[in-house]
Amino acid sequence: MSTVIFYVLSATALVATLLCVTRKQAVHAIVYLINALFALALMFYLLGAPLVAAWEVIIYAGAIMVLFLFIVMMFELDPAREAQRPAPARRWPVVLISAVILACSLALAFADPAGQAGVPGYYASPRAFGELMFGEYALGVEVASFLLLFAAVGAYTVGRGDEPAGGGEGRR
Amino acid sequence: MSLAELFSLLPVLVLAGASLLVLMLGLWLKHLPSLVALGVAACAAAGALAVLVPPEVMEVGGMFSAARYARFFLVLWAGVVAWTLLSSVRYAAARRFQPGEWVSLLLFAGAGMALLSAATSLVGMFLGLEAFTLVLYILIAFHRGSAAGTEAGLKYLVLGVTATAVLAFGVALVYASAGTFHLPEAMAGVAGDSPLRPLGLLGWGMLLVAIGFKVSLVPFHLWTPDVYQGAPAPVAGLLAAGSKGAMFSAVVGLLAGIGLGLRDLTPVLWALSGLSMLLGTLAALRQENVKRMLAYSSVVHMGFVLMGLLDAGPEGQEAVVFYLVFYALVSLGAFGVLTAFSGEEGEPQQLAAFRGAGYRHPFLAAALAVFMLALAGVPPTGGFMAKLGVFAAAIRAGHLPLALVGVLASLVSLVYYLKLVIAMYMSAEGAPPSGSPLHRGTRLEAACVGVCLLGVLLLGLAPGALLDWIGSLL
Amino acid sequence: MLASPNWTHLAAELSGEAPLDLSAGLSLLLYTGLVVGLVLLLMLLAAKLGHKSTTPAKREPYESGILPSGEARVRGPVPFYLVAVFFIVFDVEAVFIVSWAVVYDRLGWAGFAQMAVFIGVLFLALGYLWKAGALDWGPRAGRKAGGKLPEAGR
Repeated sequence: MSTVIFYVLSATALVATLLCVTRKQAVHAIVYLINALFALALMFYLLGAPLVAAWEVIIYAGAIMVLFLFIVMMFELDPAREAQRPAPARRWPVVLISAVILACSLALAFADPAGQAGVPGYYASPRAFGELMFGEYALGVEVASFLLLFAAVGAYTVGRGDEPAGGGEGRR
Repeated sequence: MSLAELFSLLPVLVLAGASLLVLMLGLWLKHLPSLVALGVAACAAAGALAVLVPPEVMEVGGMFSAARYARFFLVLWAGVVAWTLLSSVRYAAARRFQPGEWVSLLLFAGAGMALLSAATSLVGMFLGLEAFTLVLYILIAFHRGSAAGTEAGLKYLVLGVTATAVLAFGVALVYASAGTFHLPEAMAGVAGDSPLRPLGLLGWGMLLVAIGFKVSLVPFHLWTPDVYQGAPAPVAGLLAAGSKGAMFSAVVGLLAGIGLGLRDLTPVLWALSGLSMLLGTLAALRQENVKRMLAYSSVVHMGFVLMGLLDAGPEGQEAVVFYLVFYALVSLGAFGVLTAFSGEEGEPQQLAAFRGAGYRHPFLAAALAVFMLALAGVPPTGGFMAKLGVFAAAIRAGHLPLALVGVLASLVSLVYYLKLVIAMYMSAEGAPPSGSPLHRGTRLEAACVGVCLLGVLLLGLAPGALLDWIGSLL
Repeated sequence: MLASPNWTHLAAELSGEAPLDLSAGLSLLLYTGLVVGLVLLLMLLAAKLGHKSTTPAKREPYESGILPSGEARVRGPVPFYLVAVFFIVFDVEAVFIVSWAVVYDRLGWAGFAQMAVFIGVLFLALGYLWKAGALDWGPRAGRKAGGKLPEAGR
C-alpha cells in the first residue's frame, strides 16, 4: 500500500515539477512548485522522516513560497497578461495534481491513523534526530545560528531602501 | 561539546565573537577607523592565540581540526582579513560603507575561512564554506551606489547557490556510500572494494563541481570576470586570496585520505587543470580591463594549484600550500594597489588608466609591476618557486604533458601581465586619457602594499623557511 | 416559520435531554438541501441561459464615465521583501528550536545551554534589525534612515 502511494507521489512530484519549470506565468509555476513540495513532504514521511516532512511544508511550501510570491508581486507587472484568466483547460492539471496528493494523504490517514504503515526499519524519530543534532552536530547548530544572523544582516544591508546620506524624508 | 573542545576552538571564537561585537557596536559607533582598529586587534588576538596557546584536543566536535595545519591557515586568514581591513579604510570611507557591517562581515569571513581550512568532516566543510560564501555575497554587493557591484553580487549569488545545492547533494551521496561524514573515513566509499562505489564516485563528482565553482576552474569559471569586475577592489582581493585559498586548503585535506580512489579522479582533475590553464590564458590575453585580466589569471593559477594536487604525497601538498600562501600575498598586493589607486568613486580598471603611472606613482606602480612579474613566475619572485613546486609535483605524479601545458601557459601569461607593466612605464607621455586621475594612495595603503611586496620577494629569495614550516605541518 | 421550534428540539436532542427524533432532523436536512439546490439551480440556469457578452469596454472598471488611467496595482515596496526574508530567517530558527524541544528532557542542561547560545545569537540579530531600523514602517523609516530623528516630528 505505502509502496504504491510512494510511486504515485513520485510521479506526481515529477509531473508537477516539470509543469512548474515550463510555465510562463510565474504564479502558476509557484502553484505547481507548492504541489511538488507537498508530494515530496509525503514521500519523506513515507521514508520514515516525519520531521523532515514537516519542515518541507513549514519552510519550503510555507516560508520560501511566500518569498517567491513577494518577488513575483514585485516584478510581475505586465498588464496585458494579467488580464487573461487561465482557460479551463489550463486549470485541470493543477486540480488533478492537488487531488492526487490529497487522496494520497487521506488514504494514509485513514488506512493507518496511528501512523505506523509508513515506518520502515530506518525510521528517524524526531527525538533521535534532535539528540543527534544537539549531540554530535552541536557545533554545526551554533555555526548555523551565525549564518542565520548574517543572512538577516545581509538582507538588510543589501536590500535597504534609503541611502543614509540621502536626507531625512526620502521615500522609497 | 566540552570546555576543552571550546578552548581548542578559541581563535575562531575570538573572530566570530568580535564580528558580533563590532556589528552591535557599529549601530551606535559610526566611526570607521576605530572599528577597523578593533577588527585588526581581534585578528591579531586570534592569530596570537592560535600560535601561542596550544589546543587541548586536536579535533573539535568531530568537525573541525585544531591541529597545526588548521592553526597555520587560521593565522594566514586572520592576517588576510586584517590586511584587507587596513588597506581599505579610505576606500570604504569614501564610499560611505556602513562601518559596523563592513568590519563585522570581513571578520566573519575570516572565521568562515578558518573553519573551512580546519574542516575534518564534510559537514564542517559545508558549514565553513557557506559561512564565508554567504558573507561574500553581501560584500560583493556592499557598495550600493554601484550597479555593477549589485549585478556581480546577484551573479555570484545565483551561481553560488546552485553550486551549494550540488555540494549538498554530493555530500549526501558520499555519506550514503561511506556511512560517515568524517574525513578521511568518508573516502572509503570510493575505495575499490566498496559495494557502493558508483554512488561514492557520483558524490565525488558533485563535490568537484562545487569546488570547481568556488575556486573557478574552467567549466565553472564563468562568473569570475564579472564578479571581479563588479566587486569592490578590497573584496575582490579577499575573494582571490582568501576564498579560493581556503577552499583549496580544505581540498588538500579531502584528497589526503582518498588513497587509491585518486586514480579514478585523476583524469577529471587532469582535465580540469589543463582546461583552466589553457582557456584561462587564452581569455586573459584578450582583456583590456585589469580586474577582468586578474580574474582570468586567477583561473589559470587555480589550474596550477590543482596540478600540484595530482601528487597526493606530502611533497605535492607542500607545494600546494606554498602556492596558496604565495597567491594570497600576490593577489592581496595587486588588488591593494588597485584600492590605493581608487579615488572617491570608481576604480581604475582599464589598461589606459594606468598609462604613465610608473612616473607619477613610483612606489605603487613598481609594486604592481613586481606583482605582475610574480604572477607570471619570473625568477626572483615567489611566483617562480611556487610554480616550480607544482610543476615538479605534476612530473613526480607522472603527468609530464600537463606540466608542459603549465609551462606554456606561464610563458604566454607574460604577454598579458607585461601589457600592464608596459602601460605603466612605456607610455609616459600624456595624462590618463579619461576619467579621474589615479589616487596617490595613503601611507597606510602604501605600507600594506609594502608588506605584500616584501612577502612576495622573500618567498622568492628565501623560500626554504616557509617550505620547512609547511613541511612540519603536514 | 417552523425553524425555531425545530432548532430548540434538535438542540435538546443533541445534548441528550430528549430522545433522538429522526424525523425532525431529516426535515431540517431536506429543507437545507432544497434551499441550497434551488439557489444553485437558479445560478446555473442564469449562467447557462442568460445572454453574456464580454467586450473589453465592459471589463473596464467603472469610474463614473471617466476612462481609467493607469494601473491600480503598484509595485510592492522593498520592505515587504525584507520582511519576507526576515520571516524565513526566524522560521528556520524555529526549526532548530523544535528539534531541540522534542528531546529537551534527554539533552538536559547541555542542550539547554546550546539552545540558549543559539537563540542568543539570533536575538542579537533581532536587536540589530530593530536598532538599524529594518522593522520600521512608514514615514518613520525614512526619517530613521536619515541618521537623526527630528524630535519635533514624534
